[in-house]
Amino acid sequence: MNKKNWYILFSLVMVFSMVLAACAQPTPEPAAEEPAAEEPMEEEPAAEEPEEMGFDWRQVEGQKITVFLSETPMAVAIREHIDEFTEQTGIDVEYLVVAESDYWPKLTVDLSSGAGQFDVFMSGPTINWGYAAAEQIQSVDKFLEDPSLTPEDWDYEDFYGWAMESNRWDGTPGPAGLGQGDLWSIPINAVNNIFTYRKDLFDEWGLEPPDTWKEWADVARTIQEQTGGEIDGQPFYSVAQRGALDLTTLSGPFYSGLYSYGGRDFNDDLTPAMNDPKSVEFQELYMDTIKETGTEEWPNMMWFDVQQGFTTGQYAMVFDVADFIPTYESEDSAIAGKIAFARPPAGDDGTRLSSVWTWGFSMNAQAKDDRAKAAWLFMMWASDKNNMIEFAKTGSWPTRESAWNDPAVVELSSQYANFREIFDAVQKEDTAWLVSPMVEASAVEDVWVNGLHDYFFDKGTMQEIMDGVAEANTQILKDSGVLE
Amino acid sequence: MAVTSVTQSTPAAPPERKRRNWLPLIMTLPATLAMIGILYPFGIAVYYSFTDIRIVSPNAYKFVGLQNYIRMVQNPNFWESLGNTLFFAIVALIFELVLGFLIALLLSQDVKGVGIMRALLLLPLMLAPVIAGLMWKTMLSPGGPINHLLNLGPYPWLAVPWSARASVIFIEVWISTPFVALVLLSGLQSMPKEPFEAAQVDGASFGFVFRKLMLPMLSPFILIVLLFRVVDVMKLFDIIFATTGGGPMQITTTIPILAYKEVFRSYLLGSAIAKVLVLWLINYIVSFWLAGKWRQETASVG
Repeated sequence: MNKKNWYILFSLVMVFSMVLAACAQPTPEPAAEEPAAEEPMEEEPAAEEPEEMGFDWRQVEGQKITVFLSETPMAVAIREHIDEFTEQTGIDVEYLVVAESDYWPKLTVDLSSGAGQFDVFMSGPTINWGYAAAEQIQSVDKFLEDPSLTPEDWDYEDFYGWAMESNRWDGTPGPAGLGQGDLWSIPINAVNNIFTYRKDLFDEWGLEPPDTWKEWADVARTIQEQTGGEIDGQPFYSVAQRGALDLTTLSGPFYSGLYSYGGRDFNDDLTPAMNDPKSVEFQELYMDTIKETGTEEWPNMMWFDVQQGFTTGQYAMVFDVADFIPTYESEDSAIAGKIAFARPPAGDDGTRLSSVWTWGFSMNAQAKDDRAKAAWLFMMWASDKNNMIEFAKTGSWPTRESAWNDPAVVELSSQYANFREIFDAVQKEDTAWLVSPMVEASAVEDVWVNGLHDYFFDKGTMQEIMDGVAEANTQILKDSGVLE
Repeated sequence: MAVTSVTQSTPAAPPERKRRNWLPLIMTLPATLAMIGILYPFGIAVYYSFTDIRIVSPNAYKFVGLQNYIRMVQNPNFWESLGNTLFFAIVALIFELVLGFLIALLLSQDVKGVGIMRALLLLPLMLAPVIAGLMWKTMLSPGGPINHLLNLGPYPWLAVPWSARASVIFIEVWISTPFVALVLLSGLQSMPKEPFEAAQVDGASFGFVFRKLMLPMLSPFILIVLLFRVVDVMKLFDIIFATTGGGPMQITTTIPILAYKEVFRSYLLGSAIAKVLVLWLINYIVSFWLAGKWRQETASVG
């Protein structure tokens, strides 16, 4: 029996002994078998016993909830363990998993119709802004503050500050409202950006991973000259970055570079800043490097194309999310054991940023009473430290510091070259939420990616194109009443 | 007596009048209900197009008059998307008609194995367009089998403007040509043999037979094909959604794709409906005209 099962069994036994007949449990395994469980459990009993005894995981036993999942490493992990939640709480869970491209439209339709099909669903900051403004999801603070619904040892403070702050928003458009007001999601998977490169080839060519964005561009060109765009007769490119007409193209790697370089999306007064000199300078550097040393397929590259392309050995370096690492290092990967990691390239002044996205769970506003409690218990379970440790095996890196530092995750993350050391630094020093909060974020990014496509196909200078993007975005914000 | 006679006949009248008044209504009730079921959502959609309704807040909206339509005609993206929609429709239909006719001609020949070929022809029709799109996306990827077969290297078919357009049209033609071929095949098979035999005896060329016999007799079938295909191809969405997402730039963005983005990225439901209604109007006019032509042709051929 693994640690997780032992823990669940232990909780069930304790609840059974404390709660009366109404909370009858499935027959526990014989006590004699318990010591045979894996060793790590020895630190748990004495300290946690009183808290576990006080929290009733089976308080809404018999309820049924529906969970909506987007096909990601976190969803894979949740599916593998979802039966354990039912076993622990007596709550039945139905779940639906769909590809990310279909996920958001389906969720938006469900929420806006008020159908309440999904009680709990995977979500994150950018998307939640629209749902929160429309009151289609509910703030989870009231659940957090209720000791009968939140185990005492759940420990809010254990989460990285940026993880919780990026999921708090008071509804005010712009950076000022972030980290304030209500909490709209419980973050579980930290999707931070990390620089990954082919160490075998860098060593062979005598190259060092770039420390700044300018070095990134120089290294990319050096590789292009070195290889002529080919290795062993196969096409080979210096950089792999996202480029498809999709909101994920900008929010992670691109924003990290933009802000590190001194650019930004909007000024504090919410006038567009993507056409400011520093923003334009970064975008020229970024796009020229992609045009000259990346693939022609860039305008159609989604995150999974980046992941797959790098895994099959077509690229020398990629700046993208750390969730991809287990895939890069999987058995079928052409680059397993050949990669190493570095912190995000810095701007001229040394600013080094990794734009965070967190996958977490949010609750439908239609979930009420016991159903809401059941949904909340699911969120509690999924964000429990021990579960985050389990989920890390699929590449769903935890948002809890204690889970990241747990021996199991230390061992797991240490098997990938210098990943642990670098990602630790990224999480402690570089990670920040950078996208200006507003309901219109997706619309703004859509126009912006179109502008980058125009530059890719030589439709104008970056300044001209970004002036147009800024004008279009000003109109979007005026139409929605954010700007006068 | 006459008065009495009238008075006596009066009681018999009500049952007859009841039957005459209610029966037609009962008979048309299902059709009336169906009509209401169709028109009510349509009417609501028309109304929403004059509001600022957003999908994230569907209960909080106000009437804005023609604002959505005015902004639409001022928006260059709308005109580009409309141009793309018409371009895809016209080019795809030309290819589908020509290829469909040639395939139908081949399948109308009484040769061995033609039954199997007709069955195989149905395969693309059985695929959902979005599945076909995903399948072709993989095939057209730089490392995919198409580049391998054509020995083109890692050509990014779906990321280069001209080839992205060509790919979308190709996939649409691949899916829909079998339908066109089947309809035209049924047309070819329903033609009387005598005029063709007479033309053969007279030594008429294929061109003459095609222009003077085949085309006039096939015209009702061609119009039926156009009626179905025009409406369908003008709504082209699934294939584009699965392959290019409307890019690169806006080069494969059609009106349905533009409306989809407005709804799910900008949340502007009212504005998106306005665009879709314009597309509906175009479709309606074209369909109405084609249906009229079809009635004329059917009458003349008949």
